[in-house]
Amino acid sequence: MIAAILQQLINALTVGAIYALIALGYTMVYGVLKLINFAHSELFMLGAYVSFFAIALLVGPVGGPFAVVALVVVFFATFALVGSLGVVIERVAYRPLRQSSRLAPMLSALGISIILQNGVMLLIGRKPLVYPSIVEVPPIELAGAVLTAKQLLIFVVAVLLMLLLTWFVHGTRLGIRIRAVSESGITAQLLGINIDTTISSIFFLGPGLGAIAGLLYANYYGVAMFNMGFTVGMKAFTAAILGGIGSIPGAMLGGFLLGLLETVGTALLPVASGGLVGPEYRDIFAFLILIVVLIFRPAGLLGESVSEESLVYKKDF
Amino acid sequence: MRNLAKLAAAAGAILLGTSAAWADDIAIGMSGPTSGAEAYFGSTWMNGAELALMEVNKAGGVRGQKLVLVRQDDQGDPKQGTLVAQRFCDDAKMLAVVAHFNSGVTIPASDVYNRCGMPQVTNSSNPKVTAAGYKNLFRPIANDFMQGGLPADYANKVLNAKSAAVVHDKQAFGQGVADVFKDNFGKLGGKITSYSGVSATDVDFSALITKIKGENPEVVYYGGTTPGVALFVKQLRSLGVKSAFFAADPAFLPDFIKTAGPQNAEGALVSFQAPPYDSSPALKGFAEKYKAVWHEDPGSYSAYGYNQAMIIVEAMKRANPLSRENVVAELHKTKYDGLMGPIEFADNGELKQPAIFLYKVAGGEFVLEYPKGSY
Repeated sequence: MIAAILQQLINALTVGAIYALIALGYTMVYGVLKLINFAHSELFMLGAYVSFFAIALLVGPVGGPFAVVALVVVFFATFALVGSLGVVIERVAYRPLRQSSRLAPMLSALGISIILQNGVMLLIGRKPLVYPSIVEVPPIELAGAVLTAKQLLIFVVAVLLMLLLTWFVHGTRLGIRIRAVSESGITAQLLGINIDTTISSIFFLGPGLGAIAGLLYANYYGVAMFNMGFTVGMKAFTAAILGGIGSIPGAMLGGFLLGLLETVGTALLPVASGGLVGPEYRDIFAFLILIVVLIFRPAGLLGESVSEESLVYKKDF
Repeated sequence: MRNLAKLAAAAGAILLGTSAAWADDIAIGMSGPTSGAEAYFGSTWMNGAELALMEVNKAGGVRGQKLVLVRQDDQGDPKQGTLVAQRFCDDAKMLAVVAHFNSGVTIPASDVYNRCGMPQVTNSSNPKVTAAGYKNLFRPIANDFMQGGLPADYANKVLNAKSAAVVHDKQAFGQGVADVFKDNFGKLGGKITSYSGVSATDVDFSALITKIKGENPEVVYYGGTTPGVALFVKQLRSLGVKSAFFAADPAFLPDFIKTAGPQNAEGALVSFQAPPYDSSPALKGFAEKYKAVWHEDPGSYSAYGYNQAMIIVEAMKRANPLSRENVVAELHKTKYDGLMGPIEFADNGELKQPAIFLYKVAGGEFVLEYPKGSY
């Protein structure tokens, strides 16, 4: 019994950590631009693909202990490359539309998402990539539950990155500028903050985190497909909304919560419903919880409650 | 005047693009997944059929007319499959099709082929394929009543297993074959500890597997396609579940072992409709011919592709004059000695002498496990 609960907890934290990392990208962009970056799920997918080729290039020829060093380089390289792509996308697809209605950048994001997904499909092919497993460490047994090295890696890296991001946003000048711009872009500009570079830095960090999530995801499951971004991206976006879109701690909470709901749903739905409802309803279960949360707290769990000052005005559209 | 010229050019382009065959060629259409996860299945299956047509053409074709194989990629997607079916139907030179590969595609596409009277020979195994009773549909391969039944037999008689957990991917093929296993295993006195569905695009089965682990079944049966089945067995083993693992024919490919990892795939039992290529002189000869033409070993369904093309050719040879209705009539009278045994059809298009085999993954390769003997 304890073993099963512990195992499900490990499963939930692992998948939740990945959702949290991706949700951070959605929430940061929304907080600043009030834009849902649909291309983010494709940047997650690109993280898996870029790291696949980076591993083939860098880790392949190198062996032994240097492989670990090469892996660290792959991490940084993936983050940097996909982050830069994020900056380019912002420059090309969102910045020119900043003065127009709120729908235009959203459609532009959708277009970029389609371009990226089909681009990868046409250039690399539709066959799933078998992701290499570099370090093979035997799993750890904890009171009957099994904890694999990959699950530990995902959790540790995700928590580390989230802590780094929180420190960055609160402790550095750029972080303060990011928070200022997300609170009110116009006021920040009046105070002399360069809104363009701030937004570019958000588009470097968010997609970078998503790319690392893609790397960890592909490494954990062992496959990378050109359409892997869609389902996971949709779920991470849900996690961001659940936690309160625009709020960074909200995205982290939402991610872990969604992971927990999915795992609990799979494990308990058949038991609770006496076999009527099978584990395939876990997504429905998770989204129902989302709807319930939104009915009582429309801004999400940690989002700012709707008030006079934060109401959306018609002219925003 | 300009518009007329454009119209003429467009009409010319359409005419040129419609068929790659010359005026007196006969076209045979073939549709399956030649891209994506099942690309290996689809392309090697079509290679087998094309090999048959090459041989027939070299021997003079059908009453002097050459045969051309028109390949189409339906990506295993019913939406693409029905479009391909319509395109095949509209091609007047096309007198028969070998389509489709996936049951989920064949079932809707068969409505299209029936409406245009196209003789359809399919490789799909789900029982519902022949449920509509179409007179133009033929299935020269064992259906899933056998494919789900054999593992149940094996689990009961050879493994003495009393409990099984069944997982399916909610698609026509996967759920169909899982249901047959469930019924057969139950009838033999086994207990089904759980019957769960997953999404065909799911990657994470850890929560479900943890639940299954708690039930402690002796056997786990997964009805579904790649890469789901490979990921499932990989996670099954890494979470420490030691039950015997059964999978259906989509797992019969090298990528299954590669994606799951040889140590995780070890011992997995996969059902498949053909014996190994070195198990009979006919198959050995075929494998050599295939390798000479395509420069690689034959794929899982290459022999079936060859058989399917050949029975169409034989029917065409007897059909006089050559038309879709006559080919259908002659296909019903098929008595062909195929690579894996005689091929004859029952009234509903099902094969009279189907065969199914169970393979075990041993040392990174598929080894025939059950039934052993000569074929």
